[in-house]
Amino acid sequence: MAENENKPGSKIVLIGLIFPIILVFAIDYSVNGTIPNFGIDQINPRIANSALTAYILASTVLLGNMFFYGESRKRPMAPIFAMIISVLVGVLATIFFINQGPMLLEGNGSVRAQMVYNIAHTIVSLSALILSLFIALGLLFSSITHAPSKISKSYLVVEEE
Amino acid sequence: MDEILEAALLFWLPLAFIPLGLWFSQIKPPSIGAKIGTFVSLIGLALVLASPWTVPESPSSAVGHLLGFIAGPTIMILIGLFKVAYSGNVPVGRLPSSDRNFGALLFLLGLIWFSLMHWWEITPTMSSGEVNPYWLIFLPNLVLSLSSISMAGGLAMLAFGDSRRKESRYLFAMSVSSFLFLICAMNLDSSNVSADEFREYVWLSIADLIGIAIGSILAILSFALVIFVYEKSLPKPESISPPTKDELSTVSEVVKQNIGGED
Repeated sequence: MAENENKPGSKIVLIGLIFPIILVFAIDYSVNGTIPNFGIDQINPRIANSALTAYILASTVLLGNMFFYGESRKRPMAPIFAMIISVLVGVLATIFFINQGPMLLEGNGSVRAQMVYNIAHTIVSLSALILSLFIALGLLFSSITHAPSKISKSYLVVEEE
Repeated sequence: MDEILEAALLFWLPLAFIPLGLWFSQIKPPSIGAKIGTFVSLIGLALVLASPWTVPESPSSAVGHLLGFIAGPTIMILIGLFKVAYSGNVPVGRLPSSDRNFGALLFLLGLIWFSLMHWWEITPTMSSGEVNPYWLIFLPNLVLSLSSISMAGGLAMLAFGDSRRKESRYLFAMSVSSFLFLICAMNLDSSNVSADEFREYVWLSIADLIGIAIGSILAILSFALVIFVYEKSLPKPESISPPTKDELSTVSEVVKQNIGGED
């Protein structure tokens, strides 16, 4: 009973997700200060490019999912068509924003070079993210399968009562 | 052949074939299309890995170069975790208990390999002598997200699990180790990467993770919106007439025959 009262809530789990990031930022900024010739002018374009590319890639993957959703609904074309438009909106928005000047170019010479760089960059970042997710899930699953079974214990408690 | 066309045919097209093949490989029931999908994925992966030799002039081939470098430790880590997990209390497909130690060894060696790729001379380096730029994106993203996800995973075990305090320690240990690795790499120069350069990439990777989160959430919202609008546009299913007296009596007969127990 006492253990149930000490359980962290779901909000704490969400905070745990961003806590190491905030801590890295806070420690680095306190210890080392700012990085020479590096600041918000480099960080903002990265967030924007990353968001636009992640939107395009995630929409494309979800377009594939829409194909399977259609499979269970006698393959209607309307949602697949809508998702294609959604992907195209992402592509056009990216081209539009990169075309606005050097703001989002990140040192690349042209819109095409920046888009190609964005896709390669996001693929690498997503690979790192997916690998870390697999490692965390693998550790979680391993620790659970090597722990004593909780089912027999709780059953015994009920029996004793 | 034109340099751009070469890169498109020998890198980007095979790269696009990987998810495309994976989609087709999921077609149910398994058919010739699914087999072709798997085959296309494997061919695509092989061509992407070969891109440092097939299109060495293209900057994109650095992705293939990186994938080749990280394949070894990644496979070791994943096989190690698989062996540890399935040598425990699993109802099906249980491996011999000796696989636990072997799996743990593979997992640790994979992690050490990754660490040495930063600290030692085995950093992924291009033929020009420069460190692969995508390695400097991959490593901070991996370590930072590993620290965050492990921390959240450990807390989730405590929050939603039943007496999982002991098991959650492994995840917290992984989170703290990744965090310490990151702090050390941001303050100490390695043989190929200076601390200041690494700090820059860590800050960019924080920006990257924020951008990926925003973009992915927007994509999921648009996907949900498309399904919501489509489902809402469908006509309501026709209501069937209520059961007749004969049907009700038949149902009550069936219920009567099946209700109750041996007591």
